[in-house]
Amino acid sequence: MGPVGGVFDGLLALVLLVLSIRLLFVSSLFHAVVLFIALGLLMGLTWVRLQAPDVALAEAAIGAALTGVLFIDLLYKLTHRNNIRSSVSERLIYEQTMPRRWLTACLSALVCIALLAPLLMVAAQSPTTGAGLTPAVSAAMAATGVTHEVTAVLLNFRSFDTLLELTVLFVAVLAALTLRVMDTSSLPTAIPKPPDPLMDGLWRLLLPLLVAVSGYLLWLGSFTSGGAFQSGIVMAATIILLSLTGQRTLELLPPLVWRALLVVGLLNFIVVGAAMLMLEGAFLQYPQGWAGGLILLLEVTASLTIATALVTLVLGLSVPAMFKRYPDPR
Amino acid sequence: MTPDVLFKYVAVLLFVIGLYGMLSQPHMLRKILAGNLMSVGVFLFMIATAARNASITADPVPHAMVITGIVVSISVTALALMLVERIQRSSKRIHLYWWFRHPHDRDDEP
Repeated sequence: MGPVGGVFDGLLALVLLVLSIRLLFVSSLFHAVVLFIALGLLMGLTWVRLQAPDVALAEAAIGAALTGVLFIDLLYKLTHRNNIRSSVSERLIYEQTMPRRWLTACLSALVCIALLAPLLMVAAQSPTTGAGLTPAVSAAMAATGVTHEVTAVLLNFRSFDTLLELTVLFVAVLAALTLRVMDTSSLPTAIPKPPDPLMDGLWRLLLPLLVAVSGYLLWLGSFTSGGAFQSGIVMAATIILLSLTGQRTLELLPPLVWRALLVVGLLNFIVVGAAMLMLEGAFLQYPQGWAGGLILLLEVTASLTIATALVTLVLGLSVPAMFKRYPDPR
Repeated sequence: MTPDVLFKYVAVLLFVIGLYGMLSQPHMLRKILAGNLMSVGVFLFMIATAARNASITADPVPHAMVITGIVVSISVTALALMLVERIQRSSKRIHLYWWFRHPHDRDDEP
């Protein structure tokens, strides 16, 4: 890459650090969230610089887009619930707790400086050469049923990780739904919008494009960067974008279909794993020749579940239609 | 300095900056932002380590772990933000200082 690449990396590193410090200390929370979204986009660039295009795809959709929507949605709820008192309360906390805040800041700084030295030493001493696990993965690629190494790791060598990750996602959705069902005094979060011809035209153009991109990413996964995660995330982002333009999305699904989509990825993993346990003697151990098909099946269902779960986490909680079967617990 | 070495140090600094924010900021939303900074630092360290050998392709195992980690991290963020909303709704507070009462705080409110 030469000197240009070096200068670019140096600037990127500098901007990352400046952004991260700014987002902690800038006085407005809204500015902090916007800086965080910018940081997410630059992280995507950093992953590309570090030869990790798969991670870049996931980060661009999640770190920059979905996380930003989550934070901005919460900020909107907080500031509009109590007539902006919440938005000023951070400043009030700052002003009224000065002595203790200084103490907290000094103690925190001490802890961080004490931790910084050993962590920098670890970074300095960590290996800078060596091939890591690349040769081991390359040697076993022939039996995995796919030709892309990251997909092979995600759904073959370490498929147990993916199973547990779907479990984490499922537990988070369950916890979120529990919070929402208990809560009967929620404000509607959807902002009523007047019909907007520009917005209508835009989503009509974008929707088919984004659906195609999502399907294409899923199909790409078996031989190059892409796969179930990126595809599910792009699909989730599409549905969230559609809801933000005021269209009905999750409300159109019958509750049963929605619940089935939420669990199908996880259930499929468990069923396939258990079947392999009986046939092959080990959990999620694919038989010779079947690996490619099984991975594709797992990928399709995992992608559906990731998309549904992320949409539910980001905006499903403001969709009352899903809960109309549950009576008020009180 | 090759990019992997440079970004390893950046990762450590991001982690420590996030930790400082987590410990020192009173507002819960900012604590969650700081927690996200810490996880970004950890991810960056793993990916930088994976890219250490420029002559062969980067190690795919940390890449797969980080992709899994990104999805777990947004689940945690979403749940944490929902809990913040509940805390704010039931106690009218947006900070975790038990000894500090906002001039307008009232405990009798639902």
